[in-house]
Amino acid sequence: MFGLILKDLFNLKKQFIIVLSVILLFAVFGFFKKDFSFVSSFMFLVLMASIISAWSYDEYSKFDKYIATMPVSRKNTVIARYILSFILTALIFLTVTIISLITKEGENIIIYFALMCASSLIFNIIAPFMYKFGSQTGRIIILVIFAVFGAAAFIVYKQMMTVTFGSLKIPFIILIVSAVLSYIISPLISVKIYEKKEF
Amino acid sequence: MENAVELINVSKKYKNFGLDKINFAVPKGTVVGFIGRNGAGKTTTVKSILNLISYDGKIKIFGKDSLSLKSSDKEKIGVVFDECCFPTMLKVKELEIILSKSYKNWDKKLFDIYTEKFSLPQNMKIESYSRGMKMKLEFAVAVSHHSELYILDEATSGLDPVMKDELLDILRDLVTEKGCSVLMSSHILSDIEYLCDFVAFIDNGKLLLYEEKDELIDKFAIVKCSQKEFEDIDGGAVIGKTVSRYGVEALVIRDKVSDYFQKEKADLECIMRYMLKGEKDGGEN
Repeated sequence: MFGLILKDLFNLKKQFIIVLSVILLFAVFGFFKKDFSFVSSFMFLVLMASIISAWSYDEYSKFDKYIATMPVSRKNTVIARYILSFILTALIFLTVTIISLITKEGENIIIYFALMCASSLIFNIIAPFMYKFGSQTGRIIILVIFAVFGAAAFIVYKQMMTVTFGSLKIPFIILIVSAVLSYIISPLISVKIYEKKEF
Repeated sequence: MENAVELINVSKKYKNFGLDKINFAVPKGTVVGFIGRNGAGKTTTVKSILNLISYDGKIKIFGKDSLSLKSSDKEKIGVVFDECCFPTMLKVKELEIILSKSYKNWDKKLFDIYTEKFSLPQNMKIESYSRGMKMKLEFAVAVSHHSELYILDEATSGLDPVMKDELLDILRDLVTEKGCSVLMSSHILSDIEYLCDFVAFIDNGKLLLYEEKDELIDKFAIVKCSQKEFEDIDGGAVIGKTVSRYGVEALVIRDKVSDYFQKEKADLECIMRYMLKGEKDGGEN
């Protein structure tokens, strides 16, 4: 399973360079400007986009077919990608948090945490579609999901300007709970789909 | 004899094509040549064995149901597909790291030896490899995790004659020295003929024959005679024939034809060609 995580990491090398440069940009923003929630949300977005392309790489090279003959179960093949997504999302969260602590924007951590939950949730919704329909159709579904989440985030963001955090407690809790739940339900669905897949 | 692979009534239905109750086995320590035309069902059968597609019937690998193979069993299966399935964006040395983390029996030294031997630069991206190089890479990988069962699907089709011989020799050594088993599908019959102990012949999703190669070759013979002489041959003995201006060439069952006729050894290619062609008269051939 570790081999498969490594495979995705090697495949996504180029994307990580982009993520890294965004982090750099983020740091620069942090020093000059006080609001960088936009940059941090952009980072999560870039991360999501790059993990998604892991599917395209496998599809393009037909590596899935070979993996199926390797000493790793189909279940673990799927779980490996979820682990990768979780690790990377958590890493971005940590990076953003550390940078904001250094630049003394500590109160934004809760927003970053919400962003992490949202991007995990998005990934977990997308993943089964990617396994079912492949990366081409999957992309269209991603667009729809991003549009929905974008609209939701916009509404919440608008409210945040006017109301205190306290009144957002319930949506926030819902977000966390659904993110956690998605980490359980989504892999279950994806494994079911992947185990039936024919190469 | 113990079987490395055993297919019992394996069927698979597609819209316009299907496998129809395929039964054959790869006895341990032998090479089975799996032959047939393009689209005969070779790859579909191989995919069933590797559990890449669903099927009806039963497949046993190392005596166990192939659907419930453990990682430790899959470790012992080396696969070479007709198209290279490795991540094309990666360098070979990166692929090596991935595989070393995936196979417990991975032997880096052996991999280095084979990549050196096959002149495969490890610093190159797989996408810049030629078709033959990719084939060799797949083979190097299959050998480097000390497989006991090799499943090769059209693995020799992209290779030059020298490399092909080298690869077949390596396979031969694996079988004779380490007791490995090989299932090798191909439509290039000279490769199979050189190496295999058994022949399984598939056409249109049906298994036409499964026999020991030597017995098969002894069983049949080629007879060349005039049209008039040909009429003396028992019709039941003739598998297929070619009629030309100069006479008749026919594939016959050796024992059923009198020794009056000069019987030549039939090679696999003849046998396959005449079995498929049947009674049809091929004018120009």
